[in-house]
Amino acid sequence: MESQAKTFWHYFKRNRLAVGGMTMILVIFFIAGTASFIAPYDPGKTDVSLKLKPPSSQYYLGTDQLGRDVFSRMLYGSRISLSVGFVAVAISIIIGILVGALAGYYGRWIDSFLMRFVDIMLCFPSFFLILTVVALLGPSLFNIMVVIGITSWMGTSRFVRAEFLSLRERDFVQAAKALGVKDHRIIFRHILPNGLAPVFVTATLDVATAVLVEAGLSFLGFGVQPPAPSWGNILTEGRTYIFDAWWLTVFPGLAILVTVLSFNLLGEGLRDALDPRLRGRR
Amino acid sequence: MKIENFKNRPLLEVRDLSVHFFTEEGVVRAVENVSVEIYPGEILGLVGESGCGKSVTGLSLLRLIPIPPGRIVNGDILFDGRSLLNLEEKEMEKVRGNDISMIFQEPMTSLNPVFTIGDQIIEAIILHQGLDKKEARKRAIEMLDRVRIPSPDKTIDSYPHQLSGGMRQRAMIAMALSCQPKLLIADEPTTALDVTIQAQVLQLLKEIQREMGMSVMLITHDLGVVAEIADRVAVMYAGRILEYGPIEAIFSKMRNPYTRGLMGSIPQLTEKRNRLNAIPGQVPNPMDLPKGCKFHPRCDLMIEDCKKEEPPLFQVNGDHFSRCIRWQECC
Repeated sequence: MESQAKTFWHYFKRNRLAVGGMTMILVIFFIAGTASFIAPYDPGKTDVSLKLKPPSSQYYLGTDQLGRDVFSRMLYGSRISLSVGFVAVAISIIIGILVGALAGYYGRWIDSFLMRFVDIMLCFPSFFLILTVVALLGPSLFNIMVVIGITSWMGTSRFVRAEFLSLRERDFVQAAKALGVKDHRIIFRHILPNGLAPVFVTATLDVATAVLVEAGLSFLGFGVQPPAPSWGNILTEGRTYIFDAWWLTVFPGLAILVTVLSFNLLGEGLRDALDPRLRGRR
Repeated sequence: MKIENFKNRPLLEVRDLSVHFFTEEGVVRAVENVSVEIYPGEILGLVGESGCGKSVTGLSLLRLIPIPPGRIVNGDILFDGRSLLNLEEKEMEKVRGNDISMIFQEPMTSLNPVFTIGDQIIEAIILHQGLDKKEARKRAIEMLDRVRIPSPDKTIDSYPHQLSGGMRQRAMIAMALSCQPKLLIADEPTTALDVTIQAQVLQLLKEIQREMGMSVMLITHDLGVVAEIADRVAVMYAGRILEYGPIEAIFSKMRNPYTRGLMGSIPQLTEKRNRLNAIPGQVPNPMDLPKGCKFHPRCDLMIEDCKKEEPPLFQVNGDHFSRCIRWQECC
């Protein structure tokens, strides 16, 4: 186990982009965590006399149409993006692991049934499904997280199923059965730790997607509602002033870009570092 | 010093066991009408070439045969008087690892790579004996010591890949014996080990078996291994038992041409040879077995009657049996 971790790290380190992505994510995390300390101004404090000021040494990223400091709002917005990303993905990997493990371990009709269910879920254009549900149920943060979570588990489930299909044939599974270990324990305690590698990859990439979906929803007005700041709704409010106050659209756009890119780079770096190394071993 | 206990009731009775695998290409009759007994405290060797059905027999005792495509089509398995085939899966789980344990050929792959060997032994103990973690850990260290693993209190926290092949196999044995089973099924336990370690592991098995009064079903293709520690032996071929009896009887005066062929194929150190003494012909395709005696196409004692009907087990002497119509002339 330790030597697996060491070889993984060795390969991961060599991928500069992945390391860059990871560093950037750590930075974003740090920002989100310390937002209340770093933010120079109250993100909700309006002062119309200060409206639409360009970036300066006083207002690093300028002010918006209500005189609120964009920098402070962006800092708090990072909390929304990251929390939606992580909670939604947590939900999706739980569902994905359950479905994939049961399908891969038991096989036969359970597998067919679950995989047909996956196919059905995959038929839905997920963004529109999310949009519909949120429009119907109301755009609360909780709703958004849950809906993104229950529409993005399918990729994880396929990977987990593939791992289980191969791992269940391994001798240590038969040895565990020969000791009388019950099925649920074999699945979750014995096989799953050996098959988690692809889940790290899909989870990371799914966070990128979730951040993008949240930004998209907020942009359309169905996500985080003003006055609470989200990169998506700062962006959409800034659209009206796009020619006069470029900072209202550029900065949130850049933030979304950098965040999503970083998670994607990290995810791909994980995939490259984990794939030939851990898959090839017995 | 053999334990004379044939007056006792057998611990394990396999009666007319038949296990078939139903595949798309056809039915594989892996085990056909196999009957053996194992008495308390004895070691039964189950010998045969690859594919003769000995592993399937061992796995059937613990009902570890994958049910599709496999199926136990006939027979019964009685353990301590109880039919194992009639048990619910929940009850069977209580038997596995507890009353009957199994060790496998490849210790590296039989141990979970992400857990320490201590974790795996402790799991077995907690599962069947309900001890708390501290107690279980103490027991695990005791077991490791019993299988002669050096520094058991440190080795208990090692991962399988940190141990040598012989140590891993000992760890497997410790795991299997941690709940003091009455019967141990050892499926080719020394095949993956080199010869010197083989001898050590066999010696260990024999000692522990004596200490614990445990019975062992030793599945192997290696007659040398059987000769080393078994009390009785069953020789299998194409899913059937061809000869069955006490080891001295069979080794000194075998009564089946197949057994003779097996013995004869073992090269002697003192002999000068250019070619190995192989039994002519090949093991039959399990989906297309010959009529009559399954060994007849390769047998030098074959006569017309051998092709007609499969012979029953003839009693040679006491508890020595042979499935050959010409057993009296044999060997």
